Amino acid sequence: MDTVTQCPSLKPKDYKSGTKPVWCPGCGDYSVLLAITKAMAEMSLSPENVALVSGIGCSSRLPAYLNVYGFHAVHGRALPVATGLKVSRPDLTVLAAGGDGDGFSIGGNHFMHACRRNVDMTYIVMDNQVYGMTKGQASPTTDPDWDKSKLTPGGTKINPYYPLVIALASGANFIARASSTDPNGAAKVLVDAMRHPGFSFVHMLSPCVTFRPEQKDWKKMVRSAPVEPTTDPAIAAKRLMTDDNFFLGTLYKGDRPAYQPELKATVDNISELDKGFIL
Amino acid sequence: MNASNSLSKADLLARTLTMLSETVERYDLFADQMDVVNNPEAATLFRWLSEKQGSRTQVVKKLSEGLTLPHISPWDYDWDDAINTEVPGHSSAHYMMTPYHTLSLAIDVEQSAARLFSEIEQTAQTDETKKLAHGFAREASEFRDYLEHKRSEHPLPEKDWDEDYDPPQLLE
Amino acid sequence: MNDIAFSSSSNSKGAPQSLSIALLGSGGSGVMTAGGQLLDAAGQAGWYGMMTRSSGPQIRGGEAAALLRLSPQPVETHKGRFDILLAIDWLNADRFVGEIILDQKSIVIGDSGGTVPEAISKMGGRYVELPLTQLAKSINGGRPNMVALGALAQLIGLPLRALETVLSKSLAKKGQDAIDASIAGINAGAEQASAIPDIPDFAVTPTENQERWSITGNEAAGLGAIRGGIRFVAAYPITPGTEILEWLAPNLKKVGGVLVQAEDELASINQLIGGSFGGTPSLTATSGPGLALMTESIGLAVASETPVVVVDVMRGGPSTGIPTKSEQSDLNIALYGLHGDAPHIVVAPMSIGDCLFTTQWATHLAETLQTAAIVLSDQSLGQTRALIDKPADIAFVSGGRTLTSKSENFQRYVVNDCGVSPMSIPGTPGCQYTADGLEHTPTGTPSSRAEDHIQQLNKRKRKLDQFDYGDHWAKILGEGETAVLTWGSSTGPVREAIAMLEAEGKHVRLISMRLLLPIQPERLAAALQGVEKILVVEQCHGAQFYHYLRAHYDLPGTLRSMAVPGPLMIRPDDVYSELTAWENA
Ligand SMILES: Cc1ncc(C[n+]2csc(CCOP(=O)(O)OP(=O)(O)O)c2C)c(N)n1
Ligand code: SF4
Ligand SMILES: [Mg+2]
Repeated sequence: MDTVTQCPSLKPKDYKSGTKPVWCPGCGDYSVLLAITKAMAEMSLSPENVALVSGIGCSSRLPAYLNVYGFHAVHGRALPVATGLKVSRPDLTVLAAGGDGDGFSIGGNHFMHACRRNVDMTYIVMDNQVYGMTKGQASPTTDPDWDKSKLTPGGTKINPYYPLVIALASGANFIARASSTDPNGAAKVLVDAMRHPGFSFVHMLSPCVTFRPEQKDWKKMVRSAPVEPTTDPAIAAKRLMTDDNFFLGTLYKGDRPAYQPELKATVDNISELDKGFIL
Repeated sequence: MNASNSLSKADLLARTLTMLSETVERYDLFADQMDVVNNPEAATLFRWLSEKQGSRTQVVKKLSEGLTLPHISPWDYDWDDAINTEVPGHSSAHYMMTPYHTLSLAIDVEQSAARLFSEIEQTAQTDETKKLAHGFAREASEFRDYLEHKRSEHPLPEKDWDEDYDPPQLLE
Repeated sequence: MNDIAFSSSSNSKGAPQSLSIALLGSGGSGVMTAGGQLLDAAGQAGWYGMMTRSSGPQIRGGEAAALLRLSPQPVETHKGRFDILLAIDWLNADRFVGEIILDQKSIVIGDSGGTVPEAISKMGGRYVELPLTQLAKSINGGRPNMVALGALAQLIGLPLRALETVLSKSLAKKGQDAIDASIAGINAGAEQASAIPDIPDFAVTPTENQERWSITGNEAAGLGAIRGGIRFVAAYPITPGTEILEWLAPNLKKVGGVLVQAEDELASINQLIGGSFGGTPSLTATSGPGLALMTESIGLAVASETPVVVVDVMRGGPSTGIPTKSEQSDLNIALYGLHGDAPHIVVAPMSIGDCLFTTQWATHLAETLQTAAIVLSDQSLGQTRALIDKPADIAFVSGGRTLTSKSENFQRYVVNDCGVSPMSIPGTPGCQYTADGLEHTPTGTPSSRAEDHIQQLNKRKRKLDQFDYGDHWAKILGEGETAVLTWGSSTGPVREAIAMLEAEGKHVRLISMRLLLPIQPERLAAALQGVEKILVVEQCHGAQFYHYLRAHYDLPGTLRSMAVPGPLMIRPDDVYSELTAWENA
């Protein structure tokens, strides 16, 4: 991923827009925002050459808090918006971000196909295993017996979804986990993700203090994965299938070339196209 | 930051500066958060803390004049929210937090800082860093003491201080 | 500015002289190929014409018909009645009853030894047998469809030279042997046909040969998109919109653009929004079910003021409906299908050639007004191939993306008189903003304040209402106290019906609306000056266009609705009868 102009003098806070977040104090998403700004500063990105696209949810409010180009789209559709942007503007650094509901439930199909299409972008899913914005319903990553939502008395009784496994099976070129409880470590993962060509998926644990207060304990449960990132999908598969959701770090780095059609005209004048119709 | 025995003066200053300015930013953020959730008391206290920390940052900046400070990537610091508390973690804020909580949070920060700098002082290789770390440690403990004194002016929070009689908002 | 809805050489009074041919055969017999070659040859010889395809539900094989109409003047619609029906075989041919009408004057040609189905023979017509298969067998590499083609050329007086030119071009890849075999086939067919006695003079004389195009509405829409500046397309295939995409994919590449095949329509519309946000004019093509899936995000395009163009090539609905046949029944969803108050543009091409102009215009409007534009084409326009005069080369100056350098106090959604705010594209320093579907302040910050909502609602409406759409909003022809109000593909048959009445000395006004949203009440009122009777013609069971007119316009005099569902196309005769019956009532 190449960025034309760089801004070495920018500090993390220079990537913030100044708009005050609406998030609950204590929410993990603040740390994610911080980690993103740290990663951008570390990479000396020029804010005008970066775009961050999100869907709908607490976590998806993120773009407004950054000083880069942003798009706050509709629920579940951050990835296609980001895809269209990157494919037509390969010169930009493109990120997509959102929640577990946004990315894995309503946007689940796009997630699979974005992994498969392998456009050069980084997708951050802030997983709090709940729909924060709509008052705490179960999401695809919620445990089956979590019974605090009125919509699913007694729990969902449905097994959770394993986003990293699905990312690998669908063809994502970079798979990592980070945690908002460690914004500096998360910044490192984000830098690696943004530097890696193709579609990079970062599973970002980000506690919801309001609807999942027990997630405060995540900071004691996360730990660095005691392994180096593998380039072997078979090893990665085993690693991700036995993962307990709390190993942090880059877990898989593929070498598939990114999808990027060449945008170079081969005719000087569009009137050339008329020729196909002339009798 | 684990006490590192090879810390040069520039290293120590660079790390301290980052630590302090992150703390300032965090206090500012907390103040903003408290504005947004309509908790003016906590907001005012956080602004005051930010100011105090800001003037300490200025002092360290002065000490660094003429030196070229190394760039240290975020992940090269050992502190983070999970383990260290020299910078208050995002998760330590609460929308109903009282002045007592606010000051306790800051006390914890200074306590950790004092401990860290004492460790650095003990393992430092040069007199210069030793002296510097000693000074930082003393400042942190003094500020901690001051904050403790200030906290004693506020009542202890009630048992159910975080009980909210209204459910959270349903948005979007 | 030249309006290209109707070709200019069609000004003569009365319905065009013309000749209709139906070429039937089972899949694999090559009737579609032969029909296309006949059309192209007719174009070579200086005729105008059109061809539609009709077929059974089978994916391969099954019965198929190429329906042609040839004329010295441009034609846009079928008459229904056919002068010649030639069947290579008769398997399942009765399914075309209703679509193909024959009478005593028609000539019905079949292969020797075949049996004409009763449903067809009872319509009338003179039956002639030709040894199509036998002749084909006598030629090395010969095929019955080429023999049939030669016979048809002979019957209608089409110079064989024109056919030879077309065949040499289309078979070039297959080599000289294939060309020779085909030419031998057409010669054999022509010779055989010349022996048929009493062939009427179809009097289809060629006109002066200017540059003529052979194009479908779908191809024309694709070209209009590229002329309008579209360089990014994302789409999911659906009949009958797919051919727009098939034409665009290779041609966009030539001009430095790209087409991405998306995972579904939710993805395609959102990819457009991303492409457009990045500064690249973006379009998708779909049909009713796809449009239905896209509506949430079209609302996002409206709210975030991101230009996008959606071409809906309508088919019979609802649900999968009759996907290979035409209907104008997506009007309601295009006009009213968005959630919230979401002013946007809806336009409709009124002829095959006009698919080019209208798609180009829609792109210009979307870009200039920073909004979503829906183009309502349909299967009959999209999939019909027509010979038309070279379309005018029109250039619009679109002014949507105004900011290309740093600007002080940039406010993406600033409230101003014209309602169109400056828009920066990513990469422009100092003009970063977050495009938002949440209601927002002029800077784009989310806001739920009443004041912000009303300001932004007004602004998004104002920019569409105040824009000068000029004469393009409709096509108005003729005078008279009776008017026909119509839109889209219904325009062709209406126009021909009016021409038939004209030949009888009766004057009827034609108003075909190209711009459906925003509404144009003053312009329509002016166009209807002096009108006492209005017939509203549309291809739709629910009379959606009629209800739209009643809801938004003050219409003078008495009103009558002629709302006909698909799959059979409205014919000039139908409209003629309706108008005549009303006059005599
Ligand atoms: C089409 C549509 N359906 C439903 C909603 C309501 N909705 C808004 S956010 C959300 C879930 C958000 O959960 P998640 O993506 O996990 O984000 P979080 O708030 O937890 O960060 C839902 C269901 C919507 N905005 N749009
Ligand atoms: S509801 Fe949960 S996810 Fe949403 S802002 Fe509050 S803590 Fe964060
Ligand atoms: Mg969530």
